[in-house]
Amino acid sequence: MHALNDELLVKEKGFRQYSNLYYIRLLGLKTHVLNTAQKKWGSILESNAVDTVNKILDVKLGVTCCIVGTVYMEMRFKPNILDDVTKEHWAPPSPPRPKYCSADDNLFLEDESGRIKLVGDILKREIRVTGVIMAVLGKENTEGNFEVYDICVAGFPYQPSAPVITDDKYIALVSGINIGPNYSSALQLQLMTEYLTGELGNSFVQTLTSKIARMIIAGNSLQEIKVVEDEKKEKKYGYDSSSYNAQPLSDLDNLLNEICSELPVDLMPGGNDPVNTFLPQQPFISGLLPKACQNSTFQRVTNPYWCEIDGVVFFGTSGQTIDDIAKYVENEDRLKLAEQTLHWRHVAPTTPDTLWCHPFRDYDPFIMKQTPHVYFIGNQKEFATTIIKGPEQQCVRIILLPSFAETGNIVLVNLKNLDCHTVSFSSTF
Amino acid sequence: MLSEFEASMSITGKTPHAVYCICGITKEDRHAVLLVPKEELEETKQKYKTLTSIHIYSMEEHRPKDGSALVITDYKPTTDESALVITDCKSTTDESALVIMDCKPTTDESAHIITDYKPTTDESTLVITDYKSNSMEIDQEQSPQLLSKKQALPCGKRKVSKKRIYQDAKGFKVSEDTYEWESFSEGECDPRQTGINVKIKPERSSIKNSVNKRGKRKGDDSSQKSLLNFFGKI
Repeated sequence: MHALNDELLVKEKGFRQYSNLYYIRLLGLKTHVLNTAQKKWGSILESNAVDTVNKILDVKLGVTCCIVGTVYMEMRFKPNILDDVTKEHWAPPSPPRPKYCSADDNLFLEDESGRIKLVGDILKREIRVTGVIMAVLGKENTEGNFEVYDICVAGFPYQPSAPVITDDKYIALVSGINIGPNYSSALQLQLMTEYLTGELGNSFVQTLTSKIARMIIAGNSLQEIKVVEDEKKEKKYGYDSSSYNAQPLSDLDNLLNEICSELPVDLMPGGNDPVNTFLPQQPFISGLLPKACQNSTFQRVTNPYWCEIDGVVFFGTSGQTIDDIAKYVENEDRLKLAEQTLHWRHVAPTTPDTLWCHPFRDYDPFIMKQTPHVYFIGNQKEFATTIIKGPEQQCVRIILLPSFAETGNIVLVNLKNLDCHTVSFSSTF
Repeated sequence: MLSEFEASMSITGKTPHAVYCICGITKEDRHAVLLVPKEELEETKQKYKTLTSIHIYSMEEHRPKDGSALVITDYKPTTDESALVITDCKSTTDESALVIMDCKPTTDESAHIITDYKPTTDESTLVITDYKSNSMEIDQEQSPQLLSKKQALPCGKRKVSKKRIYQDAKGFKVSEDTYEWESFSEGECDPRQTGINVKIKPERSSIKNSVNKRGKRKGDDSSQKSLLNFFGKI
């Protein structure tokens, strides 16, 4: 776990081109994809004397073969930096589109030698996202496109065996607390704090809450700061420090300090939080949360985050990865998208194309080296969960966490049997 | 505890308003924790399949307009250092456990400061979960001399107070204030220096410090204004 989390910390300051990231991603996943392709198409590959072509440029016309590469989606509505640069300055910028997909998208397969366009009806049924490493079986037709017969991806990685736990032990997962200047859910937050610290309820309820062993906050603890242009105020150059309100951060600090006296807390950053925007998001700086950081039970962690509690492996993100993948497809079944990232063996394939990320040089930290037991994604619209079975008896509980500020729900996962349920906090005022 | 208080008040005739907290499983099979005013208690109970607990959450003279009144009462007053301050009082249904949350006596330096009591399922025992010993106060008196030496070094190590929370042999949760060495770099200002100074000399320098801070702020503002004036206003 420590090695996996260590990979997510950005240690070097310099920036470079992103081509390296794609190259190491291909290198890292190519062997796994080929192994899975061997298992899936083994009989076809041997009987027809179909060989795996090492370079896409070596594909010959009319010969059935199997090639491995990175998917690139050419989409009309995808934000393109060249369009931004060449467009007219006086036209107002168009609002960002919620979906990038359209009917006339083209799919290319690329590797270090070249690229080839993929055609075929089977592609329409697949979830097509830039950055996925996949193997395709097919042949080149006269137009120079590659007709696809079948597709294969890397598949689930190895999962360490789940430990046998006899007592009930719960982990609390929260996301989207969204503390802001005019905070409407302050009462719900206080109820949640009292519930977790055991101040609420009778002895039966307190026995239940005493079994909560840890709390993981999956991002968006602070509200998005919207700059409101005040017409009456004279515009000043530079930064107007009087418009900054430090109250939300100190409220968050007090809240965490109170919970930390009872529970170990892991704080992950999210899209709205005061950390770097590109993935992997680095932990909060300790100076921002001085009171909370004094507690030994408080941990500031990265987004995404690997965690092992009593042998059960948790892995989660604050939602940006799945939100970005959802822009590439029409359907909104987020559980299916989360399951698909496990099949692709990559958490965030759309980086760095549409999702900002750090240009790693030697390794891609988003490649999943092992299957977690619990995979949680924060800041989704509503709570949803399912259990996914992998081909080698892997078993994953996927949980979509709702935003606490909107729904007042937290999720409790039982380590004994991976059951999970929500607890909602509300009042009739 | 609060239910006893309510019973005693109703005898005198002035029944204050009570807000109840219901924990249970609703008819849609969802665990929920809900705050209801006393009037709506019965009808809300019908919506629940199983009720795990009902108890009084808070009491006030009149029905509060919205939830913010309940939140604000929980904020701990920080300036009042002279009195014993009981800020959170939560009732439980087992009447034999004494529940006082967050007691903070500060001027009594000779006694142990007990800061957080948490109720346990064992009704007869009192559980002390946080205690700070008075040795902390002594350390603070000695530390200004150390600090003055450290001010000469712009970068190096400084003593930081950290809270360590662990379970001791008897199963009690203990939180201990310890001092640890932490390295810091030049240019970082140490807010704890001013904080500790205020505690040692309570009245005089606290006023002085606040005046200084105000004075500094004014000075900053004037220089900032002049700099912005250079760029002009749009």
